[in-house]
Amino acid sequence: MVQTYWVAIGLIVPVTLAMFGAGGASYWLLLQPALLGAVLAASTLRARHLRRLRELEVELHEQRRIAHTAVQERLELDEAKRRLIASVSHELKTPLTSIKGYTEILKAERLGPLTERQARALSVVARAVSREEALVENLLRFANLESGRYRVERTIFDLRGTAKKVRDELAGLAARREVLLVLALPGEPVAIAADPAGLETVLTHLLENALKFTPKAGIVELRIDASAGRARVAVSDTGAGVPDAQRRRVFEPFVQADAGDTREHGGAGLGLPIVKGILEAHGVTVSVDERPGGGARFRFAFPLAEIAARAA
Amino acid sequence: MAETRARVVIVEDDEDTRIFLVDLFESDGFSVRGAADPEGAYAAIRDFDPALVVMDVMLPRESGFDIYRNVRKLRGDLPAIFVTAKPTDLPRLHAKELGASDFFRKPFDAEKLLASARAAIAGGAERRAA
Repeated sequence: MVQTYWVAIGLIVPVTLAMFGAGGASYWLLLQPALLGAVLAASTLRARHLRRLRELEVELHEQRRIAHTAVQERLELDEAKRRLIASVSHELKTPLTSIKGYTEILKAERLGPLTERQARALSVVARAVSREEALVENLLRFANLESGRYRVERTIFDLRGTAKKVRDELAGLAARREVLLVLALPGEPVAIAADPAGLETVLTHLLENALKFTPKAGIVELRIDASAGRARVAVSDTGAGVPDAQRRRVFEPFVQADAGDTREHGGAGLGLPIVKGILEAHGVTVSVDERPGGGARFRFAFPLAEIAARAA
Repeated sequence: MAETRARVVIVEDDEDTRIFLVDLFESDGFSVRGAADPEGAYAAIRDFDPALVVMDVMLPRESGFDIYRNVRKLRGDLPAIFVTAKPTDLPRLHAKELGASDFFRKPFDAEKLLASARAAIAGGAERRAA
């Protein structure tokens, strides 16, 4: 708009000179109001644009302020959420310490001999305590992932070792559920650069989940393949599978494939969200589809860390 | 009869956990004194002359780490095992930095804690003899 104004002024001077030069003063007089009108129109337009610009600026400022407040509120909410879960976990763990501890030393007869009935009762308490402990642990882990405080510390290790360790730990659960737990591993080391404890948690939750949803006499398989520079992991089962519509939802917290299942299968529904969170922190995506022949199949892949594997 | 059992000081502000820890160590043949706060901790370590201190990290007024730092000025060879219900990994790193013998998250495994305590006392005795 500033330019228009000056262009108009710039026109008046040479045109005036040209008119007088040609001796046509009367033409000039006729032209003068038209030129002035143009100048006035231009400046009015300019003023109006400036006003609109100022309005937009104010609006933008206001929008920015609102956005900033929203971000601030979100951050504060996240922080409050993190503090709440951390403090709740702390409060839950403190009494668990003496409950778990006394159960353990009573069972070990450190405080005197037990009758058979007392020993049996304590076994039930011990099982319940470890369930409670696992639940608190998962809540805490999930809260940590949610708040973005989980930082991946990568080491290079053989994923087969992790798989075997997790299998050994879950052998008891598989036997109780009368489900066959199968490991299919390559003969060569499968070296990846990741957080070993994180990957142990991932495999534990995927296998626990599969065992939980597989009926008696079913099969749960953990398969690891190394090919084309990738370590591919698949956990499949012979359960009911995950319906198409629920495939995204199973990774959401506090959700199980069929909401009605929660009671039957137990757990808070934090296992798969934890799996997803840990893998995402590694830059890895986990997906679920159908196992050929029925059942669920969870899959993810890591780049192989071949060279360093020999040093590890 | 002279006291020959290894002496342990337990510093824990949660009463139930303290009672349990005292019971646990006594059941394993240790001679135990419990303290609920920093003042009690300093007094117990001074008067009881333990071979090991098992200490909670979060205590009123002063942290277990602070107490250990002060105690080490007088008894540089005293081994410590820290326990905490804190969820973050920071205390573990902190304990390591301070030269603690071990670190346990609550709720811990009683037998593992005892095994670690025996090892820490053996290590402390070695340091003292050296």
